[in-house]
Amino acid sequence: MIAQSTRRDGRTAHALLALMCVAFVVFSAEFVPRLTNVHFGDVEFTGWSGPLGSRILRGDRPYVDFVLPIPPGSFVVLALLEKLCGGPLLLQELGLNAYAMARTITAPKNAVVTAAATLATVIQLNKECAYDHTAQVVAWASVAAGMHALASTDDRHKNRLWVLAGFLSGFTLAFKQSTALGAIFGWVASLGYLALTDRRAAQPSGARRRELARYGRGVALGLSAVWLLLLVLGSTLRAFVQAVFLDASMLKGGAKTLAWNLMVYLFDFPSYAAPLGGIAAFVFIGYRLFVRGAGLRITDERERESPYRRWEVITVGALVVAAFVGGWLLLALDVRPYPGRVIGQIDRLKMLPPMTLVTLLGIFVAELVHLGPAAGTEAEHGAVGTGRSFNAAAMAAFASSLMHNTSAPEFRPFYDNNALIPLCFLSLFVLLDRADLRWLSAALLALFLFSIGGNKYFRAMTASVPIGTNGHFAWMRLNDRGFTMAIAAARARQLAAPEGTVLVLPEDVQFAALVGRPRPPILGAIVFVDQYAPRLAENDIRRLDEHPPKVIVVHPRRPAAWQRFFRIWSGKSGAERVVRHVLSDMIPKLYRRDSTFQTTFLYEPGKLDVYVRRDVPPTPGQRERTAREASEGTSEELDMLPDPDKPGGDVGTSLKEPNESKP
Amino acid sequence: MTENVSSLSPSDHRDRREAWVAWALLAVASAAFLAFLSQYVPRLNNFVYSDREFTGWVGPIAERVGRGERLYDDLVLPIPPGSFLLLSAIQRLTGKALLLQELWVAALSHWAMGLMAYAIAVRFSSRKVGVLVALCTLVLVVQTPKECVYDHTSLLFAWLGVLVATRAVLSEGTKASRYWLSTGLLSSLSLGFKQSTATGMIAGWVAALFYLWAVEARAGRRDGAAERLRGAKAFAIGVLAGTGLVVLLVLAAGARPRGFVQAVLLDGPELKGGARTLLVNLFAFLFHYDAIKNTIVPTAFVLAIGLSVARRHGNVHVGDEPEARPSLGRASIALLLAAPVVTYGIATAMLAGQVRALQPFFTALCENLRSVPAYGFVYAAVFFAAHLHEKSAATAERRARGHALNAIVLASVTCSVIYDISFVEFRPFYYNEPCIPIALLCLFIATERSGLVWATPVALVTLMMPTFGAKLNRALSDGTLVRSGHWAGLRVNYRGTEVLDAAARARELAGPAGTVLVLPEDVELVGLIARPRPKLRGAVIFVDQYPKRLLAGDLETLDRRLPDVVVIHPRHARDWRAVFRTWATGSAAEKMTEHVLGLLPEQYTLDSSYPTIYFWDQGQIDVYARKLGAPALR
Repeated sequence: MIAQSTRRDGRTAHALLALMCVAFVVFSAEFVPRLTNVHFGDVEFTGWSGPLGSRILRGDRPYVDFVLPIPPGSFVVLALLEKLCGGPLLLQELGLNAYAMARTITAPKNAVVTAAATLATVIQLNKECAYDHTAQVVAWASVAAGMHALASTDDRHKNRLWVLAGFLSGFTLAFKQSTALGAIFGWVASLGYLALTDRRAAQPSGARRRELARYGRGVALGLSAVWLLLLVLGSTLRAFVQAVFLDASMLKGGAKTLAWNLMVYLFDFPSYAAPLGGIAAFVFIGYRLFVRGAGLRITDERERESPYRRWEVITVGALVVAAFVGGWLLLALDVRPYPGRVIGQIDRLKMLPPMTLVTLLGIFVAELVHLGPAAGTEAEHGAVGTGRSFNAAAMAAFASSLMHNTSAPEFRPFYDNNALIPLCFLSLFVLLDRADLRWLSAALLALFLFSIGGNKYFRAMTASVPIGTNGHFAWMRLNDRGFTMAIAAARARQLAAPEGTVLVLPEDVQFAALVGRPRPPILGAIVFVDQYAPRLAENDIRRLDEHPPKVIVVHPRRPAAWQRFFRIWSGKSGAERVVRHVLSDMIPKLYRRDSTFQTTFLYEPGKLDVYVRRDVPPTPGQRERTAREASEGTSEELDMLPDPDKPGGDVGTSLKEPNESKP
Repeated sequence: MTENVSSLSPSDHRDRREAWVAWALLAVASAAFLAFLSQYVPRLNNFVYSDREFTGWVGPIAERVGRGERLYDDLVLPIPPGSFLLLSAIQRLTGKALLLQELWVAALSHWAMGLMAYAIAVRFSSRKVGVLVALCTLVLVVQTPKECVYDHTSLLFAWLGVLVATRAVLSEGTKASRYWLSTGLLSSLSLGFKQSTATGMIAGWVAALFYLWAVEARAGRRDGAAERLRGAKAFAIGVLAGTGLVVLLVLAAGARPRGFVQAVLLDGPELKGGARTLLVNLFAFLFHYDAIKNTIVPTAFVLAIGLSVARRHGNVHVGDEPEARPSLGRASIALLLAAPVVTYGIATAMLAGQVRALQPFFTALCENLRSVPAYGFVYAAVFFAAHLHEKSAATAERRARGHALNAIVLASVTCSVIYDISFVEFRPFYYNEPCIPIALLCLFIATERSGLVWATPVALVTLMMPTFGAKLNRALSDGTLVRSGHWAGLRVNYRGTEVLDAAARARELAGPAGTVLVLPEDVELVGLIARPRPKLRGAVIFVDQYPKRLLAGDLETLDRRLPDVVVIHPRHARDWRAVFRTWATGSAAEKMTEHVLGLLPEQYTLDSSYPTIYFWDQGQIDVYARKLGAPALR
């Protein structure tokens, strides 16, 4: 009877998952072609992997011909599959991963709502660069594999799963270094935690050693696969290590800054909303758990029965359909975007998912505080107890999320698509189910799904006009800002002519690809603060002087705007040095401003300037105009911070001094 | 007497000893705290509005009241008369009006709050927890950056209300009724000092009484429910009696009750944005603004302590907390003795020893630790829920004590949240709200009951650290002694000397009989300049102090006789407008300021400028003198 109801629940869950996948694909069909970031600074940035994938297809070797701190995996994936499975399929994979993780801990019912809530959260990330998404998919898969290994009772299967978990962790390095480090060391820490708790429970720790060995073997395989990938791409391990490990950490501020950031993430940075009403809600859930004798410890969760009720199935199905198919319908019918103040209110719902960190911590600490003998089933069947399993997975996911986050100085556990997200939702839905607050589960799922209609969806609604079937934006729909960018790119393309080179500064890879003309022969793949190693600057400046691009696109015009952004990571970046050289030494001497386009840059009005190289010496009037423009453009410039290692050596020429144009 | 003592049981003896030890510890802490205050209070923290917050807005108004000007008639503002009468009395007694007086009233209020915190806490927990709460309360309340005694005096009533109500909720019969009457009296009497405090207190105690009645009625305990109804009746009588006393206070200030009602009860909420805005703010306070520091590792510690309490005791009902048991062992005494002596000893020595600044990193860390007590809210909520589950209480007394604590939590949080609507953001522990001792009480009950030996000492050390935060650091920078004027006896830093210079110049330009108008008006600076204002009815030309109904008349008065000197701070209109728009766009104060700014080019010349800090920006005090021979407007 029990097996029958479990099987029935499993079938229902799979049917709901299938429904969710179909609804999501339908939604994506309208949502994905609507470009929400038309350039860097519109909100975030988008599409930085595809153009680099194209360079690989053209035979350029990563870290040799073009240098950047991003591993090559996503470029390869994009080069091969960009038309077949772009963003949406990757995101869907995250949703399915969430189900796979949750299923090892709890009933299918809770796993489905976890997957649905996860999917609603991960599609809201404004930054759409495949290196993040691919790295996360692999890291999530590693967490899912590890969780299955912990739940497995079959030794052979368990061993294979540990190897798989290790392989996936190691192979994450093909996509993003920080995520990979977190994924690899996360499971090591988790196995250490399990060994410690084994020792406390006076259990033999040999099993953990064997698991660690299997996992280590998997990691080695994963890293070897990365090495093979490099060889296939014609790159070298040395260049890869230099660019992805040494340059990358320096570009994010150096080891000391990164360690400090980690400290801040853990001890200082607000991670979830905690109003009085929220505290009261959590206490209410705790009270219900206490009254029902359930507690926060979930040792019996795998065996606990909580069958579906018919209304739950209908509600979850209806909510998923309403959210995704409803979202598709509004876009397909080109419904007018709703007023701005409504978006603000919908976006407030985004405070809810991070609050699930509290339920995750609750389960985690409850298991720690109640350290004692492991559950009976563990000893009998060889599977790790549910509570300890959950904690181990939470540690692995947290490590991966924390390290992935080091790209930014602030801690944003639910901003990026971190592996912690499904575990947080899982903890919430499991506790609500144990507290028999099914209605609250449904209500919260509704709110999580409804939050899809926030700012990103609003921006998609504004992107309603198809651009056509040519160029980098082919098949997409744009808003007015997108069209401005398309026109600017067309002008730059026209000015450059088929053979001319174009340089975009500070470099936005998406816009450079839209221009569709070659870059000057510089080694740095992306002239941007956290992507451009300072060691390249001198050589690249020389190359630029030797091969000045035909067209230079500067966006935003006000140096203070991009400098403030650059200073998040560094006040003495190589990218800033190159940009300053171009702005102060090259443009006043060799270029004239051809056209200007209105944009927004991080919520402020901005301007995109297109400069074209002069083929004849300027007239006195032109010279005067250029000098005036240079002076206007740099009047709000921030001073470059001195390099403590090279006093004075790294300080660029002050643009506040008038620049004499020399014919 | 001796016989009585000898007839006491050993546990009574122990309890008496504990009480003596606790009071001795409090005496030592008080001595250390007062020694600290002797160095700390004369070091001015806010030299001008926006240097960080604002200070001393009561004294100069009290001077005017003392000179016979009638509140709500000659000088209209939405602040009740109590604090002005108090300061006026002090000024009359001492024969001079100094900012130092207001600062000392604020500081002594802090001391009183510390002692009250002990008295509140010991009703619900051990003497040790009582002393812990008192020590940490002193640290917190002294940090409040705004030193205007209408806040401090009104909050003293709120704290006193909580103190008396702790007796009321734990008593029965006539005694309880008397306490409830006193609570009601204190609640409405606080209307004599600040309106939002009184509203919060009355709302809070009504909610608490309703809660107490509801739990009795729900459980079918008719006697208990009837007892609570009697309490409510007594509370209502107290409120009426207190209201009568407020009327007397208004009359004593020479004001008319009608003017008081208009200015304080009608203008006041309107100036804060109106009823709808206030309700939206209240909603946001509960569901939007963070009440605790929401960081991963501290949250994990909070959960670990809470779960340890549950594991150790089987539940989290804390109705047994005040039951007599030894709590002050040698280690505890040493800790509770060392904490204030070391903390205030170091702080006093630094102030007296002319140490000029702390390391910025250390100051920032200490400042951050001010958020730790808010975790008490979490435990308060947990205990609240546990007390609703009456089966967790082993005895009727414990059950009653659980509900009593819930009532106090409810009232103090309600009062604090409503008090906070003076501003648009919910900033628990920024002001000296009555929820401070309750949050600390719940925090220390949790650390003590967790059985984790490190929990209480770590919490105590963490909570003493904010003493070395930004406010002390600012005080350390004050090295210049002021010998005369409104700031006599104070020490100031370089920014303070700039403000002194600006005031001296304005005074000099105005001459002995000239008038000076400061816009947007900072009462502290007006007091420092010590020259009469133009005869405006609005007492303070500031966004949330100056009602629209006065604008037309005041503009006419102003145009009829322009001030001899105008002081503008900050220079950039965008800066003061940004602050004004926190509450209102197009406020009367904004219009008045714009009107005067419009007169400047024709009627005044810029005489001098002095650098200041205006919150987030570099500010400037501009002193304008009336042009010789400038034409009259009317």
